[in-house]
Amino acid sequence: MRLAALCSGGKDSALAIWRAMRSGHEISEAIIMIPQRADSWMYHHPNIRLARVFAECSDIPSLEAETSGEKEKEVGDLERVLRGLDVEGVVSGAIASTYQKTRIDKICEKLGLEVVAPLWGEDPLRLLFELLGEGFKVIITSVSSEGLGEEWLGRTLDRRCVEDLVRVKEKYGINLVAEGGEYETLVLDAPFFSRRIELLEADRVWDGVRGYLSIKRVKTVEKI
Amino acid sequence: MHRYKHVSDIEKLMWKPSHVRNIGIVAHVDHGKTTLTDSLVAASGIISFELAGEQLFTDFLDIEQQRGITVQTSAVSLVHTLGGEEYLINLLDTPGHVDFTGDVTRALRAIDGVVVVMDAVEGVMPQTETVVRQALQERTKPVLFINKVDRLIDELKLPPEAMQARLAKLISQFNEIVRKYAPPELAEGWQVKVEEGSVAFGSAKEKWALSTSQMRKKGITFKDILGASREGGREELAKRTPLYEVVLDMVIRHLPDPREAQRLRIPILWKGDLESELGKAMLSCDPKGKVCMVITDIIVDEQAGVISTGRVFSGTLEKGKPVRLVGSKQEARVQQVGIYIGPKREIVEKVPAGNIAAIIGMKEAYVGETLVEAGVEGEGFEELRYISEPVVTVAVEPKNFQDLPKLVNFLSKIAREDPNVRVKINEETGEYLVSGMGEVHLEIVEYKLKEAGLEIKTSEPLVVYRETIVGKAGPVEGKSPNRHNRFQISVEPLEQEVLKAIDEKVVKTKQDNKERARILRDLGWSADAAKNVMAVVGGNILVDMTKGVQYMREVEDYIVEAFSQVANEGPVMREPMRGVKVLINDAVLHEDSVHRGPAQIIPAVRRPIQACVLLANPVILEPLFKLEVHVPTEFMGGAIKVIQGRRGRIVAMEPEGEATTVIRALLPVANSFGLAAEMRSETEGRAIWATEFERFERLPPELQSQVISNTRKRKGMSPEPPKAEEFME
Repeated sequence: MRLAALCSGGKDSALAIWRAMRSGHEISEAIIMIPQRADSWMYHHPNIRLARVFAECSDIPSLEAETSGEKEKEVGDLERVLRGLDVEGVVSGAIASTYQKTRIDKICEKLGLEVVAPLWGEDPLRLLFELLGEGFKVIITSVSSEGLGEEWLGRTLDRRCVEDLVRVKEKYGINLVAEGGEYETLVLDAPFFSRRIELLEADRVWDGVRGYLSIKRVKTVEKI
Repeated sequence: MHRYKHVSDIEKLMWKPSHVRNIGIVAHVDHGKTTLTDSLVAASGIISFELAGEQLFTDFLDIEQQRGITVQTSAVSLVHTLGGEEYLINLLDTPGHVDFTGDVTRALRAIDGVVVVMDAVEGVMPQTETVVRQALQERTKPVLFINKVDRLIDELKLPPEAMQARLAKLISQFNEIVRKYAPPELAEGWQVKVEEGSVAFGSAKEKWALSTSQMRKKGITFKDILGASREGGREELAKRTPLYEVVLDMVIRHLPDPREAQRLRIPILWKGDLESELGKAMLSCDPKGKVCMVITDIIVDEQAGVISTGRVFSGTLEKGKPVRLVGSKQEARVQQVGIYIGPKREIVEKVPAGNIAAIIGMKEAYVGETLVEAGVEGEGFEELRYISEPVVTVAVEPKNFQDLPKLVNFLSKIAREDPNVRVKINEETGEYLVSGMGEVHLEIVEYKLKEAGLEIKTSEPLVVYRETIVGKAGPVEGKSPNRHNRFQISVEPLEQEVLKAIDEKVVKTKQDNKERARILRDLGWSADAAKNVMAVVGGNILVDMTKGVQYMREVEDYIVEAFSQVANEGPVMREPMRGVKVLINDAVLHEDSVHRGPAQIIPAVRRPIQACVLLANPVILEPLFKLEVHVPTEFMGGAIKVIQGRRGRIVAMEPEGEATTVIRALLPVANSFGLAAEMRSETEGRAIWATEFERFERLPPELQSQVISNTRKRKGMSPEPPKAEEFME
């Protein structure tokens, strides 16, 4: 099928795209929704603009659209974007967030589009190990949860990081893949990338409870 | 050989409730409880009669011998003959020192009657009143033994009339306490009366005693007692009217047997349905019913493992029986059953209803736990009521770091044996903080650690403070870190009457909601607030004032957790909070459960509570001891100087007899350390005193900032308390 991918530049959309590609789907478009508010119910913030770089590295044409980020209104924003596309379906990286999934399902049903959610309902820990095993390079760009402090910002999602996440889960009860918004990620390299992303300059911003990595400059590098 | 016969005698008697008495001996420290216990035990042939005066049989720990006070509850079963019939008396020895009040309360749960020992010279002391009050609240019937009558004769040289007057006065003081604290319907019937023989007097040290029935039976008069002070006269008196005979006769005649006692006490002690099969079996003390037992003491023995002692209220406890622990909701199996003979246990086949039993090897049990036969529905006994608060803490660490696991192990063992010991780790400094009821109590914990071969370093004793508020604050909005959940929270000072009801466990978390709502309404709360209490933690209360907020039920546990975190560690200096009412006024929750997990909800609730407390004019409360000093009048000045030099406030001073004065005072726990040495030196060792936790009171404002910065520094924090803004968005 010819599919549009909902793309935040984070690990879940990347893994969903990779699985869809491997099942033989063609990803014709990367849709990047840019919320105007920091507390969007649907979309990522604040490094969303890097999703464009992600799309470039994947050689997928990207389509950016601003959205209010207000509850329910932002759903309509997505619908408007999808309406004009020449695709058969949509790829979503939803794993356990019913809120996200049901809204995407509803729009797609209305527009006669298929929903491909290859990660839906899967075990979080296995998904994290799949990312490691498939050679994704992922960093944590924001944290907002009890148990995740400033030191997590910029961490690479490697084996030790996963183990630490499991410890935080046991102690504080977070969702391992951050479906509750516990953390957000940026993919620097993926098996379907032709170029990879390198971070040149970034600062940690921390307000005492949550924080994000303010990424100032990146470059893309040819993969050898 | 003798002893084995003794055990089999006891095993037979256990089955005749009318011939069983479960009793304890309670007293103010040093009024002679242990000496009396030894005499009774001696008489039953377990240790020799002559030795009993010196051999403190129940004080079997080394430390107790050294200190001359009993620290650990132990039990003993003995046999006494009255009117040609043998009776089994299960005796629980209860500690008399005020630092061990928790042990006393627990022991009371297992017994039906108490012998109150009172020093004829000192009379009613604060702890006498405390333990008798505790006994009466548990519907445990008292009889009175006035001890050290020899001192009235030898030291005060009272003539017969004065001695009788003195005894009459002590008895009426005692009956005053009974009238004041006994359930109204029992207050008259439980008055002790000389003419009925529910009072005895004598000397435990000299092993003689008298009661009116004994005087009539043996034709002894007061003159004879006074006459006995000549050479050898007292030994003769001890043979003619031995202590054990008089006291045990009194016990059998005046204290209830288990059947009678359970009919009266079960409705008070047990929360379950009295009409149920189990309820009926307990009311009638039926050994054929299903087993129900309450654990009142746990000792961890190196060889035998965990030994749980308690009272069997119904059924018959036997080896191999599967049981259910009501509180911790676990199943377990009874591996071995025993009864007590002094510090030793004897394994027996069965222990029927109405007796004290030991269960060996039940790791799951905790003190206060109710145990019922597997497959039986049954409620637990009421939460045990403790009168004392742990108000003193020492920080403990091993001298050698590799001993840490051993220390942790041993501390948890001690905490298990004695619920009035609390152990907490300070995550910042890695120290173990051990809290107890006073300096002496903690010295004993320290001693036990050293006995176990651990080399430890301990800090100076530290006071356990409370944080509270004097103003209102809020609503403050709290957001979850992912910003998808919001709470509006405010705080206000808890009403004094409600705080009192919480302290008395009249209002608590585990309680029928309607019942609690009724009590709170009676205390002046609105119906709305009263029925929406979410939790009660350490003198603080959490109320859900939201209306129709969706998913509120599903995050309730997290909200309560956040509240408990602040209640246990206030924002000013991480001491427990007290007297704070937290109101959840409104909330908005994400519809998707994955977005409202504990890591989101807990900080969203905790932070606004912390901010509110800091905005509501927080103040520090310090614990006060009630201090009562009995001092010869010529040394009164010295005692007053000691009290006043330690920020003490004298509440009352009254003459007691010709030469003594009683000083009642309030003394900050913070200034109580080292009191003993100073009091001794200032009064040349002539003062007798006792301290007991009284209440928390606001710290004088001029001391507050010093206490806050010292406490914070000790806990590894910056000296300045945080600002409310640090917890706000």
